[in-house]
Amino acid sequence: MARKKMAPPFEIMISIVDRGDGEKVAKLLEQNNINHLVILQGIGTTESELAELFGFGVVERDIVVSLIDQERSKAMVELLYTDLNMGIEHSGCVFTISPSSATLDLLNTLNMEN
Amino acid sequence: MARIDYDKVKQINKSVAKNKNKDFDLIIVVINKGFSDYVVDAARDAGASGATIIAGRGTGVHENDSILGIKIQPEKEIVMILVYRTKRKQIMKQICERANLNEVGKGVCFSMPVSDIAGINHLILGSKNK
Repeated sequence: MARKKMAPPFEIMISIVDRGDGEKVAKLLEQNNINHLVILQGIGTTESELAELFGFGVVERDIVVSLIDQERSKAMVELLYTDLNMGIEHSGCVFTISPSSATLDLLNTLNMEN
Repeated sequence: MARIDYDKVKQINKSVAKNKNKDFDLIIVVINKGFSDYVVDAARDAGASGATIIAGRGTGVHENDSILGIKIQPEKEIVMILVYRTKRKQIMKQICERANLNEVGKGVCFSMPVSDIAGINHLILGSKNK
């Protein structure tokens, strides 16, 4: 009998923010019991050719990768959007990706936390 | 302390569903260090607005080279590009051509669907203005 394939009940949330704001994102996530996260340091590009000409074409960014259950993902995206003023252009963005599979250990850990 | 307002969750879920946020894809390109400029330029020319670059280290089959017995660190760059789903194919094709991703050991490029997204106002406003 073919086994029905089910996606894991959580999402990978990626927040791309200005350098230094990664800590703010981490704090907000931790306040909402989201403890699985990693902050990476990267660079972002700008759209302006003039900025590139003057050597400001690259902006330092923090990339926060975290795991969140599906029920709260939309609300968390909204919370980060308002708290980090992402309505302002080029101030950062947040999005979620659905994983296709996960280890049982990870699923158990997430279930225990919730 | 900022916490999720659970009363608003249902309203938000409805509004997000209305906005059809499944229109975006995340293109990820893993390429040798120093080549990310080719990727970003190609993506921009094909209609992407920008990219985020992270440094990384590769462990693939083509990364075992050594000089005088000393292994070379296979430094890589991971380029992330958020794009409209309609533009995805065109952008990926352009990246593959300009960064020679069809050659062995040059790098890989793949895309993933994005579920929920916020903070890409410049993309939305840009497309409305056009």
